[in-house]
Amino acid sequence: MADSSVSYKCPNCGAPLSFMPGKKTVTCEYCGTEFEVAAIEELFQGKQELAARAAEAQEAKWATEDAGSEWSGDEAKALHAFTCSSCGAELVCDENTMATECVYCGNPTMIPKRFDGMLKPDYVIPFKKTKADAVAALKEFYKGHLLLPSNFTANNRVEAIQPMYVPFWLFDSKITAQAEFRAEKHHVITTPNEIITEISVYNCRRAGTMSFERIPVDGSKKMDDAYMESIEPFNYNDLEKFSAAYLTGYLADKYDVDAEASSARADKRVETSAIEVFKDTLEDFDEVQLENAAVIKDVGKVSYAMVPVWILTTRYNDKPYTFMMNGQTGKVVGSLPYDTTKALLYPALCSLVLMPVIYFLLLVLT
Amino acid sequence: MWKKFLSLLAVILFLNVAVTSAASIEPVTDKAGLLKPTEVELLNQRIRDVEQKHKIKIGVVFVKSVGNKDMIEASDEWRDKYFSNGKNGGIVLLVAMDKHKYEMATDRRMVQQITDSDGIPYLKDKFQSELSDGNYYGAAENFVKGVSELVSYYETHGVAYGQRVPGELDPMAAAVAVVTSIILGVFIRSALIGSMSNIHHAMEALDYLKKNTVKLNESRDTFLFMHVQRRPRSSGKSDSSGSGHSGGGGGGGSF
Repeated sequence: MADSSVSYKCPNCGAPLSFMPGKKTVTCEYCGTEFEVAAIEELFQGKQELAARAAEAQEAKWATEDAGSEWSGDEAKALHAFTCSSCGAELVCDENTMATECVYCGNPTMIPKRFDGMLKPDYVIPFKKTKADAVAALKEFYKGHLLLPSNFTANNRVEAIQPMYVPFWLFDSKITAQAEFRAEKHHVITTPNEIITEISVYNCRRAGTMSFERIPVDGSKKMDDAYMESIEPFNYNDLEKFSAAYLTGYLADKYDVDAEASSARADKRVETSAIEVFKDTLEDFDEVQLENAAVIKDVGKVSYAMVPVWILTTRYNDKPYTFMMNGQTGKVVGSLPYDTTKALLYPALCSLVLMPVIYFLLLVLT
Repeated sequence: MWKKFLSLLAVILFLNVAVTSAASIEPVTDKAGLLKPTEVELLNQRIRDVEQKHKIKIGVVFVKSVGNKDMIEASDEWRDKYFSNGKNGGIVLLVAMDKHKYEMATDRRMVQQITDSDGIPYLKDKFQSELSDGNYYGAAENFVKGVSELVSYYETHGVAYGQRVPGELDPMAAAVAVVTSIILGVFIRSALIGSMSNIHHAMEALDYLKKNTVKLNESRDTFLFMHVQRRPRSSGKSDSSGSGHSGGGGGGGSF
């Protein structure tokens, strides 16, 4: 039976290949041989086609009536089995997994079947940060948080660290926008008896054009949108033409939210930004309030890219805490637990210190 | 030389006598004919007792009119002319019958003991009802009594009536400090808890704006209208500011 997955193995020594963060080539960690991305892609293209056909055949055999199991039709659609080409273990992954590693032997594995019927990514931002960088960045992230429980850092052990390429839609847009603001200029005159404020009210109209380049919106339902927006921004100078070779050694998902569905988020951000740009031209006014705005997209272009993210999971009081790090810039985001005693004690101490200070300030001022 | 010195001394003595005689005036002046001579005498005696006791000058003046002057100006004139030479300060109550107005003027030393913010209102409460009832003797007597009370308070406590004794807790300031610090504590708690997470939705995309592509086609500011807000300046709680009196403090009203 043909393998339904392709293991990217070194043509020289047969060891698993991994794309090393910060390098332009795929390197064999064992014999040190370096391969050009294009060369590896060509080398494994045939294997991928073969593996894809094998996966189709295996999928047909994996029909629910043959299995006769308790899985419902929907569940069966969401789960897919494939065999590891290294150790032969049967692995199960969800319908969006493009690349993963074997849980038994750790072999980095591509699942070419998952590439079918979907768009091929245009770009990839290769990982620049290593696993060690991610762990160090997480430790750094803990620092400076006064309410962090003491035993969270003392007994902290990162349960899982996974590098993942997350599918992103990158929206390019050229827009024509117009907005109307109600703006006020305040002129204060002080007389011996009263303070007179003259408020001049203006109607301010602004219209213009501007372009946005590659606004990222994640195309994965599994990834929390707030997390993905928090790890921004990305430096597009490192953007590379997509090659599956970049995914070796990493988890990778294909998109399950299409560009059309993701566009609303990009449109909203474009509109808010255009209004901000116009507002910046109203610096001479003391108060500015938006009355109405209209943004028309003149040109809209979308590209599909794989973006590197480190996912780190830790546990505290039996509750998992997930942190994510931008695999390119190293920016860590997440929510830390807080100590409820400290959350009461510290503000109470601040209040106690501030109380006499405010009291004496009041006495001095009155 | 000796003769010149003697003549200069004589001139100085003459001037001094002249000034002293001009400044020497009975505490009560009734140009409106409101008080009986016995009442005037009784009041004078009472005032002299208070003046001696506290080393201050007190004047009570009833006039038919202050003419073209305003009450503040007229009361300041009486104070400066006749009642400003008290060791511990001077105060004048001027009552103008044509306008049914009264005004008190305190000098720089007296305003420390009878403040515009607390002392003057205290005195008003003491005699205003008598003035309104036409009991001018009672009003003057209560005024003198009030002045004596306020100056005694100052001598006993070291601060004017209504002012905080140094080292004594100011309950109002303490209450404001407690409430403010609790509110600040709540804000600090929210900020500390908020700092435990840096996850938030991106609202804009300015990082991805190509700055050189921004072109404004229209930039028009049209003036619509102007409105004016007026609010009185707070006079604060200072001893002498805001009363309008020069060289001291004071306050007045109608009856």
